[in-house]
Amino acid sequence: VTDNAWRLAQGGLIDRSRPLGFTFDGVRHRGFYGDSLASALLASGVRIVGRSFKLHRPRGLLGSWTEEPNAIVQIGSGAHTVPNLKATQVELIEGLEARSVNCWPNAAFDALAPLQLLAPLLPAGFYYKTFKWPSWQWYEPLVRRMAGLGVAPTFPDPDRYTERHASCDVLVVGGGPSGIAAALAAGRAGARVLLAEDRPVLGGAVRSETEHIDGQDCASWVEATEHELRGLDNVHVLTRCTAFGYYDHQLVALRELRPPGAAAGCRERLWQVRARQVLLATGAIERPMVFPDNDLPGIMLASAAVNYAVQYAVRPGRRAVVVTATDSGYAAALALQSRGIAIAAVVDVRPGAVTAAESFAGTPVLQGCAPVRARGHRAVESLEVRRLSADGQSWDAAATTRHLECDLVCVSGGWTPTVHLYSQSGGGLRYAPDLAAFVPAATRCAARCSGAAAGRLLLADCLADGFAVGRRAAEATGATGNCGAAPRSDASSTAGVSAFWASPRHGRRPEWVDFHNDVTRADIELAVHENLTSAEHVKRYTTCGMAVDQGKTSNMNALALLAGLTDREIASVGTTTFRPPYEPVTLGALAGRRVGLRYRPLRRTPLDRWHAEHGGQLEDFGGWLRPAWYRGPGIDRVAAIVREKRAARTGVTLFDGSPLGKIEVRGPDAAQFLNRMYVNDMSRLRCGRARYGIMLNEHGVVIDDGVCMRLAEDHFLVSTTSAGAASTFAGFEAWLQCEWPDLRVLVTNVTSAWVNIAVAGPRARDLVGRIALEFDVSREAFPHLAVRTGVLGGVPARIARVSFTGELSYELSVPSGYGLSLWEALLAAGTELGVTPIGVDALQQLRTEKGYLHVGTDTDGRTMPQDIGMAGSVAGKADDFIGRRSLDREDAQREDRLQFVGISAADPGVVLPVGAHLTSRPRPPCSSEGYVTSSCASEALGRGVALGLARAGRARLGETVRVYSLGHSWPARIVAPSWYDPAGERLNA
Amino acid sequence: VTSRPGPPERVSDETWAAYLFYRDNPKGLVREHWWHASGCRQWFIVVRDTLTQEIQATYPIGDATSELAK
Repeated sequence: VTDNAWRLAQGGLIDRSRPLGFTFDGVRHRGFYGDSLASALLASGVRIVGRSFKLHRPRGLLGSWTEEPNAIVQIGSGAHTVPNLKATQVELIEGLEARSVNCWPNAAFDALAPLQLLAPLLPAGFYYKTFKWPSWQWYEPLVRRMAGLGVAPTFPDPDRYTERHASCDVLVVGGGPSGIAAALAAGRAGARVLLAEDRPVLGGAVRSETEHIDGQDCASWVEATEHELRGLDNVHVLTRCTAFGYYDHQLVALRELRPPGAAAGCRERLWQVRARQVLLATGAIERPMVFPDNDLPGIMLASAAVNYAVQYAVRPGRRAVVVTATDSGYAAALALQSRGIAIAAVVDVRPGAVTAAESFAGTPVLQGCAPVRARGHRAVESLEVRRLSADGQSWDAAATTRHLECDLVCVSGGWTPTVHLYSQSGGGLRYAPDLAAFVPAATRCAARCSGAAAGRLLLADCLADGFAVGRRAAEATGATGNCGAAPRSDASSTAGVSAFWASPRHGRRPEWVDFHNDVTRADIELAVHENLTSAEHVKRYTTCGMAVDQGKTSNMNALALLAGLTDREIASVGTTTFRPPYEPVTLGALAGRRVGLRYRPLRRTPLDRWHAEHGGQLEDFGGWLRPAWYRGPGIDRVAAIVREKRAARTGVTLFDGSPLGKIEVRGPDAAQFLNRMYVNDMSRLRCGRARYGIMLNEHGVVIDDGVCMRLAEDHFLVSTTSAGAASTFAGFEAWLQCEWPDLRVLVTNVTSAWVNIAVAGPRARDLVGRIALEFDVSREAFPHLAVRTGVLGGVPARIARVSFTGELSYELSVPSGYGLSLWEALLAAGTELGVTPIGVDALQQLRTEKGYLHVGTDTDGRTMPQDIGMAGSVAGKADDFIGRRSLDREDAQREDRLQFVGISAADPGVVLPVGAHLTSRPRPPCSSEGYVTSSCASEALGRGVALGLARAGRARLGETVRVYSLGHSWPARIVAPSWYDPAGERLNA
Repeated sequence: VTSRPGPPERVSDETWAAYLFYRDNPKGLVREHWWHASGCRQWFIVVRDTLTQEIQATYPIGDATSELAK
């Protein structure tokens, strides 16, 4: 266990009475309650916290919160592991296990570190350029393994996630000084306020401020104000809650984390908040500077160094050099010095920032100087600095280079307002030269920005601005209560900054722009050299600003370098597009409770229990849990299907067809409406009769089929495929409401209201006759495609003679609640007939034998009526129907269309595999002439039978082809798709 | 909002192709069919600004008053 050698003796917001043990890369360390993983590592003297994405360079902490690009860790193990967290955002808990993600065996000693020597082979876009022999594909798996981030868990996520939908008057994103002031004003005014802060505590940057607010130190002011806010009934404060996406109509998505160590509750909660006013107080992120070897551990953002010292009481170094382009760099130097960190020098790239310099005593201030390079082995040991020329564009030729010994370099290159959410909301950005950053422009946009996010960097301005904007937002929602006085800071700091991005080019050492993605200044120069000049192109080519980091520290420097290289103003280069999420969000949070069966609930038939209790092997068929086959003593799947098929061909079977879509169509214009929906003529369908019909979309493509029954003059019942019920019903509604509101038709989806039991087989009439006493089921009175309604066992019933097996078949329907009674009555009545329940597998093979097509299996997204032998129905119909005009399109008239056929293997013992291709030659290379869509062995016919789609198939009946699949090839013939009982004698029996 | 051309024998290939395949993607106001899928299943007209996502008006299909006012 390492000691806290780098911990300051006092101060900080940590609880020293609560020590916590944790491991990093397998080594045990100690920290305190209130630490982040990063601060605890720093306190333990761990300088190398990660390895860079591409070159495995040793990296230390650059930031202290969301801006951290280097310390990417994987937390926990097994199913609970979470990859790609920033160590700066991981709250320390007892027993925490953390590993650096891109190294082996650990970050301190990484076996892949020699990759740095290969840097010349790995420039931007290297995968287009190097590793070409024998092919990139040969290297890709290796390169991908060497580069990268954490490892996704392979087990199902055992944690629970939840979601919440909420609305409010004013949503304040960001609980720093500006956000707190805004929530205070809006809350006092009486608006319903939601304040969301992504850190564990409110305060933001104010936590490391040394200034005063309303006469109190900052931490006390935050506490007092939070107390007031939480006391207001109309204000809700959320911490550990990150707003990551801004969507239409002020919908903001936030992700709330459960406090670490909390035993109960969900791990994460997704909030979807609809706010009347959105106020973005998202702060600003400090920028690094670009100079050679600026990624050495020990070089960090000045704000981060101060944050570690003030909030966590950690000494980020013993002897610091502060390199600054801002006045805030001086405040940082003072804050560090007051905590016992020696300041070797303040290096100010500006030649004449006198005001700030005067207020800083005791330490050399090198004005107009910039870093030449950093030196050090595995950590910074010194910084070389040199005077710039008068225009700041090159080195002063007369000046000499100074070596500054240090173990910490604090960099303050400027402040970049966090405008991600504002930009996502549709807000425009404007380049502000005085801030050297993009700030929200006044555009028509529902979101308001305040504080540092709006470019107001000083504490006093943040408070005043936040309070004013909060009050205005509340007023806009009609809340006009007394806001009281705004909080005030009397600090006299200044916010000067000059645009400085990179030291003058010097030597060939790498100068890092994007630490997270290992992008250097040379990569951006290369991109420009190769004529990529748009910010979006350069981003994609170099990967600058991508992934976990989203360019939080790299964006502005990259844009500025790009502007300089292309002789443009930064304003005209513009930014890349900001898209959600602002921070990585776990898939668990997005999925919430919609996982497993809750993601896609399976539908069950009224007979579900019976099937399960009688060996029915339930499987998912188009969202319905249905028996595929019935297991019996010593009967496996193959034997069961053979048995069930034989029963259908020789005896009598029951099939639970309840999932079949059923749509009632009623009204005086019902016949006319259905006539427009179906290819087949439904207007002349007689009462008590049923007709098979196919439905097209407007492109003329077959989308569904089924039987349409006319129960009365103005009453139809349409059946659809099981999977097509919802879409067919929705389609009916859409046509009726949008296109033909004049038609007097009412449609109702009654799919689940009726059970549907198909009684099929040569002895079906015998069985139905025993049950349906009120119906005359004789051949003469009840022919094929007749439909009768009546009473069965005292309940309303409907019987239709339709068949999907090719056998004599009756479909019996009763209200769902009576389904089981009917099923059991049929079984009891049919015992001596050998009645056999059959599953979906047998049914599919029976219909394949018969040559009946299944829409979606034997048709594809191009199949038209003429391709399935229904050209006659089209020609014979006088009226228009959906898709009709498309059947006259040139493409529909082509002679080489894929058409529905039977495929007969020359060897009757062969069952052709589904998906096998029809070819003209025994094996490829050759073009495909179509493919097998359904296939099975037919015991009734003593041979294999297959259906398929063949190019120009209907004109090629009798032709010999080859059928090819996975190295095998069989001779076969194209035949008519009617294998079993082509004359239909059994059907009409 | 597009209307179905017809009857089929009087619709040219060009008109039918425009109905099937060609859509304007204007910046600004568009009239669209929307469907209350999880509720009452009503189809209705929404006038939406594609730039700001602002909903300018909603009204029932065939509401002549609203059509004229637009």
